[in-house]
Order: sequence, then C-alpha cells, then structure tokens
Amino acid sequence: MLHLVMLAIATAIFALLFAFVAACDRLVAQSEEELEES
Amino acid sequence: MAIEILIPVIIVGLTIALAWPLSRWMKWAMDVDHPGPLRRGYEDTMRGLLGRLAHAAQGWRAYSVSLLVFNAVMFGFTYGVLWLQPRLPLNPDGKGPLEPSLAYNTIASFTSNTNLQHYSGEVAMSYFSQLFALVWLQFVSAAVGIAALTALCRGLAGRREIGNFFTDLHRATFLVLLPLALLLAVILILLGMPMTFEGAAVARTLEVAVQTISRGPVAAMVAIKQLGTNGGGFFGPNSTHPFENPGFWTNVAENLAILLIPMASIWMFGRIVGRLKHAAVIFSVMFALYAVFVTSAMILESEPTAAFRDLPVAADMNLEGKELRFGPTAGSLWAVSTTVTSNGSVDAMHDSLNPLTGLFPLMGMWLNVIFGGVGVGFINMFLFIVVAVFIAGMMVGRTPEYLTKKVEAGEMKLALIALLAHPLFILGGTALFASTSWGLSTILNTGSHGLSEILYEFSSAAANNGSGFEGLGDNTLPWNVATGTVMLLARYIPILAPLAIAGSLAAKRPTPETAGSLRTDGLMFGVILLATVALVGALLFMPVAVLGPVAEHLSLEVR
Repeated sequence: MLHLVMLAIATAIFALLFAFVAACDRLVAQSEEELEES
Repeated sequence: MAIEILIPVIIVGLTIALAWPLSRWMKWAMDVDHPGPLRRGYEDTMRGLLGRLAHAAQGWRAYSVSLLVFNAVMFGFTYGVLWLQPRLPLNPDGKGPLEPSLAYNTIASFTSNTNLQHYSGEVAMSYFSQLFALVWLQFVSAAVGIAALTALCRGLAGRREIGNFFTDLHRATFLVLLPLALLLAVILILLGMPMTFEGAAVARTLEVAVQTISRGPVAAMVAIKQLGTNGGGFFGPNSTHPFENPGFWTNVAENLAILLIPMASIWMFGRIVGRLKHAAVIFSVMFALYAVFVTSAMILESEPTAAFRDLPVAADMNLEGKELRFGPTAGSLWAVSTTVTSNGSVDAMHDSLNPLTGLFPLMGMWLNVIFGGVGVGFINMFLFIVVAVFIAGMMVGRTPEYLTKKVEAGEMKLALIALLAHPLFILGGTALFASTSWGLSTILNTGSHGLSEILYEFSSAAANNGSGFEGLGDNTLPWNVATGTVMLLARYIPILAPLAIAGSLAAKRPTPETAGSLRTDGLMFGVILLATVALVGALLFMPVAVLGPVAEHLSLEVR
C-alpha cells in the first residue's frame, strides 16, 4: 500500500513539472507577443 | 608539507589539461558539423532503433516534455526493480525488499543525478538492483544533463530547433559517458578495485572469528559514479571504503574524474556557440572560486580539532575523520571538489571537518555553479549570467543583451524562478525540520552543529549533490519523502526554465554589437559575473551560515 502512495507522490511531482513547462510556455509566448507588438 | 600542496595542484592541473581535448570530443559527439561515414552509420543505426522518437527536431517545449517523460518512465521502471528485488536474479546474498519510502528516496535520488543514499549498498541492494537500477540511472541521469546543456547551447547559438532529446541522450550515453567509464573502470580494476558477481566472501580471522566481506561489481559503479557527478557509492562508506578506493592512485584517478566532464562542459559550450573567449571567462570565474574554496579549506583544516585543545595530545592538524592512506590534505581537496561539482562521493567524514572548513562544502552546494554537475553546472551559471547582464544593463541604462539577444522581463522572471527555488528548498526544508520532531529527533548533536546537520542534508538534496554530512538518522519517512521531493523538483526546475529562456532568446532577432554593448569575453564581464554570484549567494545564505558553522566556530573559540 505504501509503495502505491510513494508512486502517487512521484506522479504528482512529475505532473507539477509538466504544469511548470506549460507555465513557462505561456510566459515565453507572452513575451514573444509583446516583442511583435513593439 | 610541500608534497601535500603539490598533489592537489597536479590533480587539478592534469584535469584542466585533459578537459580541453575532451571538450573537442564532446562537441563532436553531441553536435557534429560534418559527420564521417562511421558516425553516419552510428546515427542511422540509432535512428532505426529509436524509430519516430529520434526523428523530429524539437523546440524547447517539445524537448522539455520529452525530457520529463523519459525521466518519469525511468523513475517507474527502476522503482519496480527495487520493489521486486527479492524475486529478481543476481541476488546471491538474498537481499530483501526496500522499505517504500526508502525506495522512493533512492530512485528520486538516482533519477535526479543526486545519489543521496539513506541506505548502505552492501546491506540493502542486490547486484541486479545496483547494476540495472542504480548504475543505469547513473548513466542516463548524467546523459540527461549533457543533453540539456547541448540543447541550451543550440538555443543560445540562435537555433530555434534545439535538437532532439532522445538523439542527444543516446549520444551522451554511448559516445561520451560509456567510453570514458569503460576506460576508467579498467584503470580502477588494474589498481585493485573488485569487479565480480560472486557473493560476499567469508573469512576466518586469526582469532577464529568469522568475517563476512562484501564485494561485487564495484569498478563498474565507481567509474560512472565519479565521471557522471553521481557520487552514489557501492558501499556505505563510499570512497573511504578500501574496495571503493583501494589506494593513492585510485584516489587521484577518482578525484580527476569528479572534475573532468564539468570542466570540459564549459569548453563544449564555447565550441557550440562559437565563443571560446566567452567560455574562457566563465571557466576563469569558476576556477577562481574553486581555487579560493580549496585553499581556504586546506588552510582551515590544518588547524587541530578543538576537542584536542586541552588534551595532552600532539596534533598539528585535524586528522579526525580523515582517510590517512590518501594523505591528510586529500580529504579537504575531495570535500570541495565533490560539493562544488554536485558529485557527492566522499573520502573523508564531512561531519568531522572543523566548523569553518565545513562551511566550504556547504557554500559549494549553495552556489552550485563552480563547474557544477555534468551539464547542469553551466546551466546553473547561465541563470547567474542572465541576472548579471540584466544588472549591468540597468547600471549603464541600456537594454541588457546576451550573445546579441535582448534580455527582457520574461527571461528575467524565468531566471529568478529557477534561482530562487534553490534557496527556498534549502532554507524552507531546514526551517521545517529544525523546528519539528521530524528533524530534531534525528540529529546526533545539539546546537549549531545539529542545525548544520539538517542544513547540509537539505543543501545536498537541493543541489543534487548527494554527499552526507552524517550525524543524522536520515532513513525515516519524513526525511525520505522530503529530500526525495526536493531532489526531483530541484533537478528539473533549473533545467526547464533555462531551456525556456534559450527558446525565448532564440526567437529574437539579433541586435548588432556596438561600442556600448557589454562584451562577454573580457575581464569586466568576469568581474560582474563573479560579483553577482558572490553577492546573490551571500544575501541568500549568510544568515543560515552564521547560525550554523560560524556560530559553532565562535562557540569553540570562546570555550
């Protein structure tokens, strides 16, 4: 049972990291838009 | 005493000399311009094996996602190996299953290239687990670092497509790490290191006692442990164990291997972006910090330990916790080399270092940019470079630029997120464990030394270093989960954010360099970068340094 809990924690961390990539992507896209406008 | 100074100079000098030709090899391996027929054959074979995975060129986002998917899959696979250990082959000593939180911590540790070990290898791991979970991760986690650095370099060279993650991964594994590890393993075997699949030897001593002597495929693990800045040992005592570091020459070879690829990585960056002078400035900044750290640690460790002060004992230096087979100053050199490079192997007891000497391994992990881990050392320094050019640009009233690309708010936000995550993990974790029974019930010393024990553990986890200060009962559920989580987050956030910055910079039009541009290949840039690293490091970590090692030093002096 505790093995599954540990794997769930690892899954949550990797999910968080994928969300971090998506957040970085939004930030980069935003700065590209600002660049094009200027 | 002269020989004690000469040996570190020879080791470091030889490493610097070897790093230069190795960087040419690494550039050829990772980013070849004109492949010959043999190389084309290798690439075609690997493309055939990997299929669609290795075909498409990727932008930074696809590259980052591939990197995370690969690491998540590796985590699951190797966790399964430890879980099923008793049912798998190559287990002559009948090792049982790992406790779940220890398995989580171990796999997080090896996936993230940290190799923090809350277990003793000879007690807990079968040969199958050592080779097909841990050594496998030691190869691919180091390869991930080299791949990420190569991608960053391509982005900084202005290429919008920064390569293919799986292509970079197999190149780093098979063309860089595997040949070097094979060569080093053969040298270590010739110097007396065991490499066997036989179970533990049983010996009968002169007093007719029965002694069980652990052994195994040690040389294979030690070679990649050092070259890949992994640090995870086959035996609990790591490179103080006579089978993991049999003598003076293995100590020299291992010390050299710790620094080799991190140093060569800086030159590889210079070769890929076509700016070797800029790489020389970064190398000089790193080396200046390294030289100060090593010299300071050796001088401070030449003082006898305070415990001997009032005793009728002749002691002209601190010999506690030192492995005297390698000479009394070897421990100080190794302690600095292993912590600045995020290696984490040890050949002396860090808990026994004089308090102020112990500050230098800690500072190496706090800054995490002095050559650093394989590939990621430069990536971490890149974050400081972004901050440095931004500050310099603000000081002269110009839009900051780096390698002809404007550094703006978006890049600064990403750089600061990655930079501030590091102290947050260290200081937040230390504060939590120093104020609750999770940490207080596990330290073996009270007061400032006890704080240092907790601080060191979180510093080691956040810097993906893996060395242990020890003096800490760290194989508990809270420690295993907390440091395992820190290691994973602290590994990938400082890789992903710089890749995003490189992607953002690559999309920008280059601005022509003018007389007003900040030159990145001169002394001025070196001074600005050095000052940025020192000031940011001091601002973030000075308070906790005062509460830990500095307070301990002062309390011993007053006594």
